[in-house]
Amino acid sequence: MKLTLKNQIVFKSATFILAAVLIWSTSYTRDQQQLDKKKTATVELSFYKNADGDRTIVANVSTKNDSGKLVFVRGVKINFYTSALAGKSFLGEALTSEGGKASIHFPKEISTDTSGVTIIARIENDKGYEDAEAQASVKDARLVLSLSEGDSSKLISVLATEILANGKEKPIPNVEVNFGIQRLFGIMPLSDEANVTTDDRGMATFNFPKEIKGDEKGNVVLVARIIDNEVYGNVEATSISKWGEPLVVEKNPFPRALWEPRAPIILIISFSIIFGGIWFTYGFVIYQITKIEKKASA
Amino acid sequence: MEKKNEHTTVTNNNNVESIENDFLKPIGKYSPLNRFWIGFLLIIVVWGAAIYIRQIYFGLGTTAMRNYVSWGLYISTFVFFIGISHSGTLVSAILRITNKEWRRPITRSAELLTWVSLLFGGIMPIIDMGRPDRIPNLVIFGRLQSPLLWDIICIGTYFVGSSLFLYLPMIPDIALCRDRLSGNATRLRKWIYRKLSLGWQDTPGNWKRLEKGMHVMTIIIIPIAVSVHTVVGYIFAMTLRPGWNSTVFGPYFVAGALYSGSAAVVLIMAAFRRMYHLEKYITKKQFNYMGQIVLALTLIYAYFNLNEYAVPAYKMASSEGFLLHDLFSGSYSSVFWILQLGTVLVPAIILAFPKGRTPVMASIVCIIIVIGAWVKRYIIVIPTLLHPYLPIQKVPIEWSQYFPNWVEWSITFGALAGIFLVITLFAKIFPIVSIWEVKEGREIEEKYEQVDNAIKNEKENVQVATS
Repeated sequence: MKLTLKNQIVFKSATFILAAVLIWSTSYTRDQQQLDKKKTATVELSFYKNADGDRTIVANVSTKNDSGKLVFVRGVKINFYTSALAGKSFLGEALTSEGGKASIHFPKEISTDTSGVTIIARIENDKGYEDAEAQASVKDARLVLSLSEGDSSKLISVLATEILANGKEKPIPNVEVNFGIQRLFGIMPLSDEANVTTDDRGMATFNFPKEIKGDEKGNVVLVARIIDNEVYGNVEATSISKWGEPLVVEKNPFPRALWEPRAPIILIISFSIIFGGIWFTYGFVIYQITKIEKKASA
Repeated sequence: MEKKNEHTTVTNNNNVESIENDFLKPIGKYSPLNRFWIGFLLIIVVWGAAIYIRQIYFGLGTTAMRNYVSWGLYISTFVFFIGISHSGTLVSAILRITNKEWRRPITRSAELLTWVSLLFGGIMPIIDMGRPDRIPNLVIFGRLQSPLLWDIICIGTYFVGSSLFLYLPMIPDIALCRDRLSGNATRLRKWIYRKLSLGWQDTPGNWKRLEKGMHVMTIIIIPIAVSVHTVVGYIFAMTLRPGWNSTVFGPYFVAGALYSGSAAVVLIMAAFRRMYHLEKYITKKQFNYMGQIVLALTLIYAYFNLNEYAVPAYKMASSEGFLLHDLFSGSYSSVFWILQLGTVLVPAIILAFPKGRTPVMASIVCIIIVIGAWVKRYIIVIPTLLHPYLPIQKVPIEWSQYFPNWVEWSITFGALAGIFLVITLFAKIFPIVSIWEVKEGREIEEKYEQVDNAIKNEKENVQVATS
């Protein structure tokens, strides 16, 4: 069948429109798929035990943004599980913070056995992120700090032990302990070589350095920590001692200066004289005005 | 009673009546054109106020200002308005002290311009604040070492001083309005006249008090005005930034303020001369003299411009260099050179000739100067903010550029319309020319004429006798 010129034009136009619609719809679908596509997040687990024996599980959630940079993920729900509870493995849930952290308390009643306890953090059925999981097996450990003072040295000793299921403790050899002191915004290591490995008895010792500032009475909070250990996680012990140098507080920490909160006296005097003079003159003029009024009413 | 005669008795009673009628005639009367003008201004003011409320609600993010340019059109306009406020001080206070007789018909409008531009100038930094509710913190927790606090105190002090300086010479005229206009004035106006005239009577005692107050204010308002614009200059100069880090900024700002303020006085003179038919009082003489003052101030301003740009350009320190290149040959160069040549050099050349100081020519030149002064403030504020010592990086590209958006234009034009509106309404309630001062001037003129005639007659008599 031979098409007329008019029909050819109609046919070609229809083909062109159809092709355009097809291209547009496929690209639209691709865009939509990209929009619907969930992101991948990475979950990392940490286990903390503080000096009071409180235990916390922390999940760190991060992802890569469009430029490939690792960023923390906020507002994602993390479900925490453990293998230690028979038949009831769910520990709880928490949303990640601005820094991508979600944490829950690890119940005190859960004890670890010889192989440790497995903790799991999961992203499950999240709208924006694919399911992800992190697992860690930790054993319960304890640090005990003791302080001894000689003629010229002050020694910090720490005993690292693993708490067994029956409640007994066994020394932990070859584990690195960090010594530091508590400061306002964190823990300051006592020196560059403040990491000491425990011996066979689970003992580690460290000489307290001189010239460490304490509070006004010389009090310092000594901290011994096992940091990010694969088996024991993060364990901490603290002790208060008077080994620090007493802090001499300046009576006047903010001397009068242009760059301090209190203005220099000369500035206050100059300012007061100038503006006092001006406002006194205004007062005089206003007084003259009030006299006009008084005269009128008289 | 001698004192009373000195101020009010004019040899020709018809003359007195005529002067009073000429100045009282427009008060309280609204022609259709007046009503249209006031309505037009009100619409702009209400629009500006509505957009400001919107800005408070949605935050400063609705403006074009961002992290780098946080002082945009608002602060440029603030500096411009404060500059205009120098008009009253220059024309009124300085000419009063030097006892220039030709000042008499123009002092009131100059003082009014000062007061109104200060009122709206003081509002502009508040508009620039994202949280205006925190203004009390500036007073409660303000540091005396901060130029921002100095600025608030200086402007507040200058505003109170300007209010007194405007009000004092108005008292006898308000009393005149109370006595002559009460018949057909509204109740509100009658109340205003009664309260503000303070029960003024034409007694020597009252004149003595008034003169004492005026004398003191005339002297003190000059250093206050100078200090205000110096401190406005300090806000910039005490910030470590290229282009502002200059010791000349204080006097430079004062010179710029006097230059724009005196030009604004010429414009307000011309406007009221035409609107209120005051050609008999605001004559070519006033325009000629004011033109000469504007010329002198333009040259002084040009001198400070030379200091401000030529000295750092000679050294071309790297940080200043980026800014100066941008101004001299970069993105701001066209505006910069138009300002330097078009609003400084050309006005100076025109005003140097007597024909350039006629009412029409002087008004045209002064419009150019005033607009130029506004744009100049913009050029002082914005390019420097866009050239910080630490390079702009890792921010959206829009943050490294600035041009005011519709929100800023709306609010700024609202403030400008507010100035025009207050001036218009003021002139419909109070005499825009100081009636008693003009009468006093006429009396002095007539006395001089009498003395001249007497000397002339005496000379003629002597010539006749000798011949």
